[in-house]
Amino acid sequence: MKTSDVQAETDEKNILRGRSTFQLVNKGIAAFLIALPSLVLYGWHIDNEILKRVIPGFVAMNPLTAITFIVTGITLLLLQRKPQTTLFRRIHLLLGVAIGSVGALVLASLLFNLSFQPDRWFFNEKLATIHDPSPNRMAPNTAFVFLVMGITIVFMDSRSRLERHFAHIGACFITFIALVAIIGYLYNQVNWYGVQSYIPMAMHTAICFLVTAVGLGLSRVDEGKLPVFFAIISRFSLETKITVGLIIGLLLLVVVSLVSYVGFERSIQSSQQIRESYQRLRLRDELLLELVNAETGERGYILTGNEQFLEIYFHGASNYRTFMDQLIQKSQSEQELRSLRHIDRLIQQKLNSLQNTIEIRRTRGLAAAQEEIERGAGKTMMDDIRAEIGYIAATEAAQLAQLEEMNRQSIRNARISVVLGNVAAVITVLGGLSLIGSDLRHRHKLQLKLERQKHSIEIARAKDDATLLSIGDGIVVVDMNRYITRVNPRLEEMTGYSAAELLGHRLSEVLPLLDDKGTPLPEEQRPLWHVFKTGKSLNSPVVGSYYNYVRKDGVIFPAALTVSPIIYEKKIVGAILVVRDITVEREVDRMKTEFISLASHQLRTPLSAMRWYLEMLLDGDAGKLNDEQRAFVQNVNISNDQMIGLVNSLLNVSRIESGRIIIEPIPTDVEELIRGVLSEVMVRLKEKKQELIVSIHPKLPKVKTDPRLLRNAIMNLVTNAIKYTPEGGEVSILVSKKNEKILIQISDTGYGIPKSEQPKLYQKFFRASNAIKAETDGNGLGLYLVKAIIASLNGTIQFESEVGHGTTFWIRIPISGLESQSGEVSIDS
Amino acid sequence: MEMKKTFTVLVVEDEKLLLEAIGRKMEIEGIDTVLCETGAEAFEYLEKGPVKPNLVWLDYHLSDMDGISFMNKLHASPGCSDMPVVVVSNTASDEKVHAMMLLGAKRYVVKAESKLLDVIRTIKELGEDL
Repeated sequence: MKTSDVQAETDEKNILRGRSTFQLVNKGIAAFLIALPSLVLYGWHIDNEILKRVIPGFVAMNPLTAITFIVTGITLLLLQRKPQTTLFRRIHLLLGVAIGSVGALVLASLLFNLSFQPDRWFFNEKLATIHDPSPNRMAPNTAFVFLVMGITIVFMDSRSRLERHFAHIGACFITFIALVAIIGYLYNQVNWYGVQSYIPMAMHTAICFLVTAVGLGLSRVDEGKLPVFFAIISRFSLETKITVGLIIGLLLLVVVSLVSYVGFERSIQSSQQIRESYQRLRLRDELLLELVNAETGERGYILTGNEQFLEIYFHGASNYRTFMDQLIQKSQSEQELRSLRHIDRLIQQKLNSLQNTIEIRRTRGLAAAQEEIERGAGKTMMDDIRAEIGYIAATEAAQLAQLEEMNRQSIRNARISVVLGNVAAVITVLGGLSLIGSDLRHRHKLQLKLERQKHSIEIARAKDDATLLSIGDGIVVVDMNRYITRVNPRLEEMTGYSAAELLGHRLSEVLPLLDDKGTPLPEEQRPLWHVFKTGKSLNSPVVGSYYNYVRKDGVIFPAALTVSPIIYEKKIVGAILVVRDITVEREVDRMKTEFISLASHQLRTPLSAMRWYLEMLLDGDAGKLNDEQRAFVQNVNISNDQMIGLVNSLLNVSRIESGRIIIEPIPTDVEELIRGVLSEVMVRLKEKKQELIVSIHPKLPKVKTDPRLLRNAIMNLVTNAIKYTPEGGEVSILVSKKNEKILIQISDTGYGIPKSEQPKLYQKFFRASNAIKAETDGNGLGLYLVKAIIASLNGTIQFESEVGHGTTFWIRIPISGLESQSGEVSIDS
Repeated sequence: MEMKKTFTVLVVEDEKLLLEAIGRKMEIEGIDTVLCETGAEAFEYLEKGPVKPNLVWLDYHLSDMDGISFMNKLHASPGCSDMPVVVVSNTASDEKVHAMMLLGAKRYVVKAESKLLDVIRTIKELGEDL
């Protein structure tokens, strides 16, 4: 196995591994979506509150919701099956429709207060007993999310972009609603997971929705059909990902810190307030205690007359002042201050009354004092003070409870924020790392692929070099501006120029192209020009029969050229010229022609001798022949004539093939020419009792063509028509004018040419199988010559033939435009 | 055969067999012939021969010279400059035919394509015109 194959296999494995990670996560999600709702259903069955609600007091998951989640789990499993067969596609569409329908029906039932209530079909008696906060049904937001989920599942594999877009938005919507509900639960915001007075969405329902949305997103990540946010993120560049990741992380950090700080700050503040509250409470108690002490001292003195009790009284009365001042100083509101001043006044009065009683005792004795106490307002005064302080304490207590509650709330929020923030940060970091990791893996893969491609390009280049080196023809590659970009060693050898002298130069400047007569060709007659214009390969000369190039040393050599365009993305970006030095070929050609010409000449001499001697024998110049002798000699004579015909044909072939034939176009009267041919064949036609039909356009213009060549071709075809048509048949010649061309149609009702042999008709020495049987005479060179002659006259020839019905040939000759060709030989002699 | 006087044709043909055939047929047709295998032989006869031929039957390709040289030499020979020549050759390219006709040849015949008798008839026709 080659290194590149091993690499490719490893890459393939990596891709599969990546895909299988998604599939594994998705299987887990599907399993969760089947397991959790199953437990809920079991909870309904055995009436277990934990299974139904997860946390007691929370909303229970409706049994229909549980069943729909189980169906969703199965759908997610089906979505992962690869490849998606039509059957599986249909099943998952059906399941999508079912999920969407559940949502739609329940929603309708709730909104229009219908008696049709699918969400009460299961465990109805048990649902009826529950009335927490409203009769237990499916939440309207849950039903709506199911509807959206159904649409998402139906559209996610759609071929329409718009529908896939719906699915995309649907998945995002589910994620959003689920997240809002979960956060609502965390922060105790009923409005975030419930709608008006309807039953709210259960917390585990919200979690199931979130998980489903992730599952739906992941199930088509590799195909990019339902990318949700994953694919959008993966489209960003690595730098953007890192930046966005860092910004999100930083924002999370700031938000978490801020929320926690505010929470703790509030908590500290309220703690301070609570502490002060307690302080004030203590001060008030102390105040009362001092007051009681003062009264106790006063009563002790009154009862006993002992001055020692007065010390207790004075102590209390003076201490009270300190506490009262502290209280006034620490008072929190104007009202409290007023209350305190009031209390202070009451206490002053109380103290004055105590002082008064003490004075009475001291001056007028116990009885007068007792009388004063019983008569005095001391008792009511004390009760008023207690009541006033009790009022302040009660207000304070209520405030304290509120503060403590606030404190708890702040701590709770701060704690949740810290946990959530950390979880989000961890997810962001892990997600970011995973994205960056996958990006890096992707980059690495790309890099490996690039290296492999570079490697294979280098190998291809080496192969090209080797190919170019081993090719026997010269090769030139030019760019779109006709500058030479590459040549092979054979071309250097052929032209005498080194690659350095050729590369980067315009082709026509370093290697001018000459025609077969050695005249430099203008731009529009060069094959390169035609190739760039038409975009098609060209392997025959635009003019003449071949090209000439001039070597560096000035020697001209004949060349055959094949020019092909290099097409990249439908544009011609350059061309390749294959240059073949045809010096040797042309020499061989010339020698072959000369040989045939000479051989034909030499063959003719004995044939002439035979002809003349046979003639004399038949003329009776050597004495009269008997009938049998005469017949024999006649046969020899016929064969000799055939041999002469063959030699003549071979001679013509060599002339045509050598391209050295003279073409002398003169205004030619085609009708006259054809009548001439017909007059020659008339004898043979009459012998075979064949009917001749001739129709010639009455106003035929003179054609600028070579009459001898044309005559030769027509003669050939007419002779063939007569020869290969049985006695009593029909030969017709129609001449018409069409589109600046003369159309000559020569048809017969003869043997025809078998379809299978038609492609070989113009080949040298080819004779149709049925023709050979019918006529032994014939050398198979006639039609070959006809085609060559017509081509040299710039004409075309075509035919149609059916065995048993005859053959039709059409020759088209341009009325004007044939240029003369000064050759060396003429046809026919 | 109603020749008014003896008609003599000088036949120059390097192929012996052909030469013999021509001679025999001419004899049958009542024409006197002088048979030469080479150009040199022909000119030798023209110079020293007893009878001045009325016409020359010339093969273009001779072993010692071609038709053009023969014609030029003939024109240069005293008393022979207006002697009619019929070229009978195996090859007849346009140029060749053109050149020979310009040099005064009366006819140009392609051997393999003509019957011997036809060539002789052509010669007789020419002879009558003389």
